[in-house]
Amino acid sequence: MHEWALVDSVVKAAEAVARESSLKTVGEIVLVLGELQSIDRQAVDTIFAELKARAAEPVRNARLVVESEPTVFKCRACGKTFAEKDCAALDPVEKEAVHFLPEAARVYIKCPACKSPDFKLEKGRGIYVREIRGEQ
Amino acid sequence: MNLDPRLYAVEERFCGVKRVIAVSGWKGGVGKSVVSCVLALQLAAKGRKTGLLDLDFTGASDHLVLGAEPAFPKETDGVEPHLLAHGLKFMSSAFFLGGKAVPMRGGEVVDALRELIAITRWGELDYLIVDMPPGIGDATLEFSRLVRKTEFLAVVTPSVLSASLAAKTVALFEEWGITLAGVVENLAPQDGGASSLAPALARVAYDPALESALGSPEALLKTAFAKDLSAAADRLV
Ligand SMILES: Nc1ncnc2c1ncn2[C@@H]1O[C@H](COP(=O)(O)OP(=O)(O)OP(=O)(O)O)[C@@H](O)[C@H]1O
Ligand SMILES: [Mg+2]
Ligand SMILES: [Zn+2]
Repeated sequence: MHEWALVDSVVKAAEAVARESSLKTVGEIVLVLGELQSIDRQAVDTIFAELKARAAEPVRNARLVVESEPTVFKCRACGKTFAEKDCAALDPVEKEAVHFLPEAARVYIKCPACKSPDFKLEKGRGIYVREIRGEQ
Repeated sequence: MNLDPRLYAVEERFCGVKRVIAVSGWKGGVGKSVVSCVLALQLAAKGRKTGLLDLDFTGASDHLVLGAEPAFPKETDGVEPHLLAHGLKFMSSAFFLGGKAVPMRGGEVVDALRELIAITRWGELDYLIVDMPPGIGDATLEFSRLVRKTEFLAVVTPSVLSASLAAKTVALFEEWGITLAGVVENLAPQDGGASSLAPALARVAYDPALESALGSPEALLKTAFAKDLSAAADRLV
């Protein structure tokens, strides 16, 4: 699963934040999954449980809260804001490409109003960490 | 707080890579991609564990130079680079783009670069050759910021347009503390003067047979282009 590499980076981020802010324990990590990338949420939970068991001490008991973020595109040419459902559906191979590399969406998705491929991904691209909470 | 977790994985992803050599030259069309591919093949053929990363997102061409299938990479605990001739490991955004053009602005290049770096598992390598897009733009700045051990290899041509851009960029990099691994003079005439930049790694002449060898690693390794470039592979090991 390529999710492994992404969850591994989340654990590493939590370890780094714990170190930098001298946290004794990290209680909660809030992870946001942008819907465009179709990350397997169950895989994320399973991999996180496996990785935190061998993580640095402060992260060993952290809870992962996963939030999903709908994708919002904004066309730079005509200004239209749109969602994935406003565009022609991607086939499974295209979806898989976007799963690996969300920028691949720029090949398959066009502005539904003006057909421009020059759009901004305002929200819901991939993963990011919204919050790491812990105690010093 | 909004953290990009991918940045925290970079150090570990490159810890098994001894030397990271970004092939640039900053001018477009000077032969960066053919030099990157043939140099990577030559290092691999010498038995060095070698990887090749194509970072030219909007103009990826190494898969064409090497004749690599644009198939999705294998998923493990990330993604595995494709394995090519002589065990060369190869990663490119072209694997995900279905042979289509991809328009990208700077921020999008940075995002794609972070993603590829965070998910690709290179393992143990003696050399990772990185084919850069022209310029000192987003990919160059972000990659050298994230992978601090990156050294640059400049491909220059005898034209003043290439030489002057390379000279001023090398001066900037020196001031900045970025290492110059060396210079490959491409399209160099037999009798012309040498580039003033050092250290010189190889002088490569125009090879009219290079075009017909594109797409085949074995044919590439037999070209006069490869013969000229082999001095660079010898000097790097
Ligand atoms: N020494 C040479 N002999 C013959 N052909 C060459 C030689 N060097 C480069 N070429 C050809 O010149 C063209 C440009 O080379 P290449 O694509 O490697 O340049 P580049 O610097 O990577 O370009 P870009 O800036 O677009 O990335 C290619 O068709 C390549 O095969
Ligand atoms: Mg190129
Ligand atoms: Zn539009």
